[in-house]
Amino acid sequence: MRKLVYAINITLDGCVDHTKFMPDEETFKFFTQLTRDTGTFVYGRKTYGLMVPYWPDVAKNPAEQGNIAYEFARAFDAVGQIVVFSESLVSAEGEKTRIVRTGLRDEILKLKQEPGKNISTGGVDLASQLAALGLIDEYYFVVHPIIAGEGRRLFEGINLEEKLQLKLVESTVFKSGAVVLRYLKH
Amino acid sequence: MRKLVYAINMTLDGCVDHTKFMPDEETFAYFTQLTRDADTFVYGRITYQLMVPYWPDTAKEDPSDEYAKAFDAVEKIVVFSQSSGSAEDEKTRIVRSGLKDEILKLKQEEGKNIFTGGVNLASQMAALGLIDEYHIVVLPIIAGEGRRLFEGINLEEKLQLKLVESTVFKSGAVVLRYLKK
Repeated sequence: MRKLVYAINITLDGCVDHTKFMPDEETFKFFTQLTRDTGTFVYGRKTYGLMVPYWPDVAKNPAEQGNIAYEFARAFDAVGQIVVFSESLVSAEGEKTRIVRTGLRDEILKLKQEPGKNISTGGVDLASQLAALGLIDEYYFVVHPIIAGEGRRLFEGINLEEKLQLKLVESTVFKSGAVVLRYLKH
Repeated sequence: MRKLVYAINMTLDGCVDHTKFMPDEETFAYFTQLTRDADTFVYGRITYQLMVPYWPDTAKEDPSDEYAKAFDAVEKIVVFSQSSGSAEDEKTRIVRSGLKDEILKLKQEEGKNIFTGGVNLASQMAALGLIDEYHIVVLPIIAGEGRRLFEGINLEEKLQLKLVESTVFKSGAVVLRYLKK
């Protein structure tokens, strides 16, 4: 069975607003590797709109070659399937993208049964739902050495019956002072 | 000059509500060592009332409790509070205003570290740039509720820290130690 992997950048005070900080080179490379290990992206509407068409466009732009973001864009563009969970999104870019309106849990369980590389997700709202449903198998938090003092926080509004206990399996320190904490579902 | 050290337990989603989790043995030992390295506590009213008289009482009742012993050995407690009330004993002083000047004065004094915890006062001191060292113990838990670290902090701009150490405990807690930049 394939696993569902969640990865996100976060400040020390839990801010996940991507406009509040800029990932360093090692963080970019880290996300590039995760993306190369991905066969399917699962996104909510907002995260999808942040990623597409931005990254596919970067991947097609020769002027971007040599930038650290370019390798990420190439890896992003190479992922074979994108599933967007949205009640309002009307259409999506490209044939590899499918919009799903309901049945989050069943859809994810079906995706997990398919052969292939990892299922990967990011963002806040959909990820909170996926975590609450116990569907996320692996969590990567890249903790940046910043106190933002504002902005959207990790799992804000999550609806848990009881707290979720995870199992730490790895921690990696980057030169920038960012720390990657990797956890498995318990 | 003495340094002001802040340490706190926090879940992965930033919850710092102490009722949501129980620190493991290594975390207790870590806080015991931090406390031994301090001779002055700086607290807001809420944290002070959580700690006193609970820990001094524990120290008297259970001499084998190393944390309680370390807590009780700290010589001076400064409580910042605007509401009236009195402190438990002679080593405790209540201060009503002038947080920044008071901390700067304490830092000039001789001795071991100044140590603080809690949420409200710590947020104010972080915003004023007074905290020299941050020890954040990240527990492998998503709480999904509760007060969050530095909630309501009022920063002019984001605070960039410098990571100097990360330590993994058997429980899966990770201590991240940062210095003010």
